[in-house]
Amino acid sequence: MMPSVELRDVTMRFGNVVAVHDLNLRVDDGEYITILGPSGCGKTTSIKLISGLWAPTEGLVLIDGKDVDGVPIEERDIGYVFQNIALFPHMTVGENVAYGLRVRNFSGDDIQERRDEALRLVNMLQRKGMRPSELAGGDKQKVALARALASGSKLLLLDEPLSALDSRVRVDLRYEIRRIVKRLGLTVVHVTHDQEEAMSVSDRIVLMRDGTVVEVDTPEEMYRNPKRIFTANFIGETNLMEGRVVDTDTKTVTVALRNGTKVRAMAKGFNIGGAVVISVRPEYVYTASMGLAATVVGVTFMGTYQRVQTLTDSDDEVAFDISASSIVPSVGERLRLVFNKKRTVVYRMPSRGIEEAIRLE
Amino acid sequence: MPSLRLDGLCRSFGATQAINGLDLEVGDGEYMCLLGPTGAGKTTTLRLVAGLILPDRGSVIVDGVDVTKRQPEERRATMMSQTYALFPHMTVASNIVFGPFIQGWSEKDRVNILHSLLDMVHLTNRKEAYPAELSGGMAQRTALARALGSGADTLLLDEPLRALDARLRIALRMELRSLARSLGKTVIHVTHDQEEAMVMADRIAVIRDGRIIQVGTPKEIFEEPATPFVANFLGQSNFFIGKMDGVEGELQTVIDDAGHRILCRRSDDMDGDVVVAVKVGNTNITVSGTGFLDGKVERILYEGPNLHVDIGMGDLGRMSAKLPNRKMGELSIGDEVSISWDPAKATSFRLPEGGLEKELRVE
Amino acid sequence: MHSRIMQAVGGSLIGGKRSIVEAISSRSFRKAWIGIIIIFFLAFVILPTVFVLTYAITDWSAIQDEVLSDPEVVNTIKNAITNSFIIATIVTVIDLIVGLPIAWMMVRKEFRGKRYLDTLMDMPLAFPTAALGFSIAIFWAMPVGIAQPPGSLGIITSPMLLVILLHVVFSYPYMVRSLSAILEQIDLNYEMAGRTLGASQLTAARTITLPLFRAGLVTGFILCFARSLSETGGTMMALAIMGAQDFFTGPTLIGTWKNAIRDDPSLAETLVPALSFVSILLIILALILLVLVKYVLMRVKLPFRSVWPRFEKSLSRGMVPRMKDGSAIIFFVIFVLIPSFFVFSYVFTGETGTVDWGGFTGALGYSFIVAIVVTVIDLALGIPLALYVARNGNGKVGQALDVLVNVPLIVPTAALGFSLGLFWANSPVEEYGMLLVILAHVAFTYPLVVRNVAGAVEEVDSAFEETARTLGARPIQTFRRVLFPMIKTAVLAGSIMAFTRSLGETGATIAVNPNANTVPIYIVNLIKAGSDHYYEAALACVALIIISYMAMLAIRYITRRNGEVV
Repeated sequence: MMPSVELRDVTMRFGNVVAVHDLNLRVDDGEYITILGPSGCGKTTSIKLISGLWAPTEGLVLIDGKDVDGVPIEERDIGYVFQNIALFPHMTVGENVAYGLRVRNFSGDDIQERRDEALRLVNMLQRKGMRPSELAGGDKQKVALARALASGSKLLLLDEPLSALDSRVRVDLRYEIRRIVKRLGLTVVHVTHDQEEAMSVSDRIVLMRDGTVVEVDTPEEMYRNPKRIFTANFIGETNLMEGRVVDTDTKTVTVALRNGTKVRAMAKGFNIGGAVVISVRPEYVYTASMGLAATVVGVTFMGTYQRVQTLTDSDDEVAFDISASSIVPSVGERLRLVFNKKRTVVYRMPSRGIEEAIRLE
Repeated sequence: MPSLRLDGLCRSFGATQAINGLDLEVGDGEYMCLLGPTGAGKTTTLRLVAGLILPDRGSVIVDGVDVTKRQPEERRATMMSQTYALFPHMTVASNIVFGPFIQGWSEKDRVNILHSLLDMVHLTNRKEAYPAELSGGMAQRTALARALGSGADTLLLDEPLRALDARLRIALRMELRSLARSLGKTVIHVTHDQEEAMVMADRIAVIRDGRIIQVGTPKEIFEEPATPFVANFLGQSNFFIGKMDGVEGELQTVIDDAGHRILCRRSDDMDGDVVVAVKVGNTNITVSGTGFLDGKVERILYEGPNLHVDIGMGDLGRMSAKLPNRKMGELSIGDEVSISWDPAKATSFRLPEGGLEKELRVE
Repeated sequence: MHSRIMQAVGGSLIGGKRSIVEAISSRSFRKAWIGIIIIFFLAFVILPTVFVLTYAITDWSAIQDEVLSDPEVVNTIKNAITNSFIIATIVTVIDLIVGLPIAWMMVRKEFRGKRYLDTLMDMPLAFPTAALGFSIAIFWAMPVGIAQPPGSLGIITSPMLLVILLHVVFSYPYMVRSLSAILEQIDLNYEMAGRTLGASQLTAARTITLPLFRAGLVTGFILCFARSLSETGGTMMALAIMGAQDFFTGPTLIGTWKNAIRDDPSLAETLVPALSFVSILLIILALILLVLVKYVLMRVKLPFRSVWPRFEKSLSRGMVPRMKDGSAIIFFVIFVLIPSFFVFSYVFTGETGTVDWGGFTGALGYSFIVAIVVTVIDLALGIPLALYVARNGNGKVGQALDVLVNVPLIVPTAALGFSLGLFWANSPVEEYGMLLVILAHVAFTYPLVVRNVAGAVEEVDSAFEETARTLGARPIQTFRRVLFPMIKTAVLAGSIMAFTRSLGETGATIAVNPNANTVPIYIVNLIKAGSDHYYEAALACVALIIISYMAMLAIRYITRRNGEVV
């Protein structure tokens, strides 16, 4: 299948600053891709390159297999939803949505029909006559989405569409957006810094950092088997512990933590004696009668579960979850922890240390 | 350190009643989160406490002393605004010691406190930088250090983490809380993020339309919401509307027009139309026919620690459930399933006037 | 930590400085202080500016007898005022047509030499209009009594046309500035959103940005119109040089009659009612126009709805945009730059003449003293009002002040000067000619400082001041340590604007005190004295231009340096 959007060896420089370096990206037809990363990772630059707002310093941007170099924004046939909404304040909701149709020379009847159809899609038809200033943030963003969809573009670019909204509205709207675009079968490139949002809307996530792609995968794979420590920490929360490999066989690696406690994990390709970092997510840490000794330092109520923070005897901070109705361990209590072997990931110790490897800004 | 009492505060702006009879008590050294949607009056409340605006009625009482009419600089309560408001023409160091400087501390005392604060927020090597050169996280920490250094007993934090990236926001929650805690400050932290409030607060005050609708520990608010709005705002709920049917020990049954029977925790004084709320996190999915209500899986989203599952329930509309991620693979779209819950965790309310939809509106 | 603060606060309370800070921080003191400022503003700025209106009530019979009963006088007045309004309208329309592309280019485009163009663009703002009048008249028209200077075109024979050419030069920058100010504020994302929806550049600009633009249009329109309506010195010069003795605008009529009274005090009896009548008409018409323009431009439905996608797309590409930008620049060079600088060429290539340096330096000294005192008063009393207006803009008093502050900017300065003279007549102030001049100059420069500073304060997020307060800073400390450093640039820009305006003002000075020996009046008198003095006048113009220009460069230097630090 022909990819809907493709970036080939794209580099973007502003003077001496390299915003995006050697970026390669393929978005298939009908796919929902999220470009995720911390501020300054190059995600906004990438979406601006696709939209034609900027032209790359090097490399190619292809839409539907065609090089779009020199094709101005207005002729790329892209729906674009902006972070700061950008509804035209001097037009009503209906006029906003009809704008793209008018400037593309649709006929009068056609304009009305498509406008109403788009508004119905986002459940805003009854607000057609209102001004943007009369709408709440989430509703504005729905109108912006309707406006981007009205003229029937098959490619939708979402530039942090939810980050200006309240968290509760954000959650509702992200499910809504995914529902709509999937119903219409659109190809979507969505930019965000919110890993939770990325996880819940995307078919695949492109995780970026410092202008390069760290990892591309489905949300599930990225959460379960992150290939880099940065990914493990950025996508969801994780416990990182330092240790050394003391034994290996064909499928598993045994790691001794700093206090000598041994942890087994499903991994291969490590040499005995190598410095490593292991990563276990809180939901894969359990209490047991044996295992890594730890002291409870805090318990946080999280609604349907409680998170227990501990300091292990290997001097690592390890958190794990227990159900909301479980008896809460008290601070200072001694526990023993074991990890789900299949969900324990092992990494080589990064050359510049863990801190640098998971740095968020 | 002070305790704080807000007593019947009212404040309007033109025709809008922003704060409408707001009462709240914050204990000495307590970390209080003021949680609510945009436009609920969170920031206005904070500004009333700081003395940046005066109430039309009601009073602000600190340690038993009425300070309603006092100037902001006389209240020993410092505000950290959403945008941090770092003075752009001053370095990090000058920003941090602004309070001590203005209060006329000696040079030696200023240097001492500067060093301990810089150390506390890990900014010692950026002390000569200007705000424009700082990353979001550093700017946030500078603003925090400045607030802590002013000698105020009360910290008023207006969405202190909002301007940060989502992941960083989570990482800085604990840091912020433990700093405030270790210095024994009384804190009012305004946020719209229910998870943030739940993780950080000693107690949460849920505010809506200029009034506090519930105050309690995170557990109380989550498990015993006072209104359907609270039930939905913290952790999202599935709702059923029906009439009281019968009581059985600690449980009661509600029956809807189509004859679906819904089991929930007993609550007294219920008659007429009743709303039952079940948290999506407390909603279980089992094989068709084994639960309370049957439906069909419409969508499964992998969200990391959990799965978000939407189930079409026919005339009951769409219900959602959050399951642990290990259930991935056990469900697929189109499956006929049944939903159930622990009735003791389902709460019931009288149907609010104006209907459920209006009650649940978050904007 | 706690006890240390108590100690610090307690200890310093003994010190005198802190107790002053305490005293002036009390709510009652602050209220009294702002009260005084508002009273000053009303009593010394607003009231004198419109005082002449009361003349219509108290002395209507004089107007009836001396003015309305004399058809010749009525005719002169009618012609002068009609001329003024026709000129102002045409000038504003020209400004708008050529100002828009230039403003667009300055804000939205990056090109080499933009910074220089930006500086050049502001130049006429710094040039005293009397000097511009001289330069432009000898460039376009045939000067009376001397040989045509080399390079002069000498093609304009209609006085009205010459005055229009002159007024475009000094009002044009106002239009460009107000349009670009708004254009900068309009989020580029709106236009971008339009383009992602399929609108070509021109369509997006016309249907999205332009409608958001009205406020800029209104400001630009009012500023240009008011400047043109008000201008006296340059117009008098230009008309005198081309020998148009019978052509008057409102302000030049006031100037001429005032001069006539100075030369022959017995004329006062007939001319004072006539002057009052002209001033009243100018003031009332200007104010009506202000309201009308504001109302009409903000409400009227502009034809922004229809689109012609294909046609506009073809205009968005290739030669057309470049031609538009090119012709705007060509206009700027031919109609603004060359005529403005022609006086330099005249000085260096024309016939030399005798120069009375003593007279010139005397006038220069007088002008400087006036300008400095005026600027100091403006700053001392303008900043507090600006703070009040900016931070209380939503209150009733704040809104009223916000509107009132514009009045002296709209009222033609000659009428303002005359009105102010009447206001202070028979008071001790009248004894001191320079004091009158200073008061008149304060009246029309004060709003410039207030506007500038208030604009800057509005830009500063009030969170800065509020945070400072909750950190323990008294209001005065908050201003000194937090707000002032952030608005320093605007304060400076406002004061230099006030300074140069005072230095270049003719109309108000003549109308309030024809004997005042400021440089512009000195130059005007030289021209009136005949062609023998043209060279001397030209030299004085050049000197005045250089001094004003230095002041403007100073603003730019300082604002730019500050911009880099912050």
